[in-house]
Amino acid sequence: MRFTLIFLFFMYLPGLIFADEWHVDTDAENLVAFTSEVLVLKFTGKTGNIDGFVYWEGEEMFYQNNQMHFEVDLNTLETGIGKRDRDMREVLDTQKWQYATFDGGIKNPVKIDSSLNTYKLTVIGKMFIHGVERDVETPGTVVIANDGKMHVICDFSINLSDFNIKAPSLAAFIKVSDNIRLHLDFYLKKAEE
Amino acid sequence: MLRHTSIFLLSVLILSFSVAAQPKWKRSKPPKKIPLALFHSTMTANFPTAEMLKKGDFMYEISHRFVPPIKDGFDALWGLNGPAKIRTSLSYAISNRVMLTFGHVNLLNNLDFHIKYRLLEIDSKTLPSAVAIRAGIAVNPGIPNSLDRGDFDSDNFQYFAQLVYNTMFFNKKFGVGIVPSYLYNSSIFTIDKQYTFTLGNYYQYYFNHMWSVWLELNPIIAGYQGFITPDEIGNKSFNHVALGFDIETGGHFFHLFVTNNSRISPTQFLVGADKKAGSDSWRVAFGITREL
Repeated sequence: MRFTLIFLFFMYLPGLIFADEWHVDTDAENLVAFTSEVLVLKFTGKTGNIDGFVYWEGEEMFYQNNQMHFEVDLNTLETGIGKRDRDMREVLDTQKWQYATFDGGIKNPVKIDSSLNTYKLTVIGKMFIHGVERDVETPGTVVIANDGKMHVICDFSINLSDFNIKAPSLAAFIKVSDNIRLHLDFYLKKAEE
Repeated sequence: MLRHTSIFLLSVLILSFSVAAQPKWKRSKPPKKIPLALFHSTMTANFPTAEMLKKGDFMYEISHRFVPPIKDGFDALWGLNGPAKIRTSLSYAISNRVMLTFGHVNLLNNLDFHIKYRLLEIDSKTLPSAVAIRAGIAVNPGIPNSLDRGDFDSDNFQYFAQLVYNTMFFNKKFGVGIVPSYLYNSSIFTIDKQYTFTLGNYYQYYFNHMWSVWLELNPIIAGYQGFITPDEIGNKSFNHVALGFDIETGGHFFHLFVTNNSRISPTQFLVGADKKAGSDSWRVAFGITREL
């Protein structure tokens, strides 16, 4: 009997450790956008199709053993013209690598506004695009809104050449810039038990 | 016994920890599938391909077929001094599978309207294929005043239908199109209504994303192959041949080529070429399209 009770205690002990998991709210108005500028020509692609999660252990937000995974279905990117979408998919070779992913964690989360539950933090990890993985470190802002959703905003740049992506032509003999600005603005909600 | 029990309990404990400490997220939407894409453009210089515009997109076309042959030399600037048959058209995609086109050609003031519908696609590794149909109507209000007929008299209307089959080889470098075509009321100046049936075919090799070369043929299989304007009475129409190259950049396609056929509107082009292919019949021609 004593032996059984001890056994049951250790079975349920893991449940007593606090862990939190938030998933991207795929029904929210999420935005992943990239912009390339060259001379006076600007080229933008957008999608709302981002998915993934943030996870950490401990009661305090992002406290310890935090990890995240985000992914964007590159077949959903739209630039405003169907032909240009098709060209972009070919440049990114989405038939082979349909998803761009990020895997990493959070460091230095700092609560900057206790009334709004706003955090400034640094996201560090590996970004995977076009068959190439690169280290990425970028600042971001997280706001826990009154409706309980986590709002994430993040801006950073990448170079196409770092991911073996050949800059395509935007117009006659004018190529898209190698440096691309990325803007992420999306929402997460607490994962259901 | 006690040692086995301890090992068992320790295993259960470790397993419980590891199961509880993992995120449970799973991808919520399936990967988006993209329609099969073969030829780069929705049209070659003279034929439709099975490619479509994206819903809500427009495409504008301007095309010239210079009438004087290249052999006329510098005096005619190898044909570029004109005159020329000129076409302008605007296409719009009401869905990802349906495209509407309104066009005009200066010959007989031809106005045309047609619909292209993408029927099916087969995403096969050996023979990827796409099939579309195109059908349309044209009116030729630019008839001579001597003709006792109104501009929009029913005799001035023409009708056509085409089946478009596309496939590609060599890792989508070499495209083949076959376009059986039917035209009704081939010449609006004949007493009896005529028809023409042709078997259009085209071949395009893509060197890279920007440059390609191509060949178009449109042999007349059956039906009428005579004149289409009063000043051509007594003349035959001939099998169409065109040879050229494309420059593709951003949303533009530039078709630059030589051809024996100065006719552009679908209901004029499908009757055949105005000159037999030969050394004295080649004309310079171009077409430019822009997707918006």
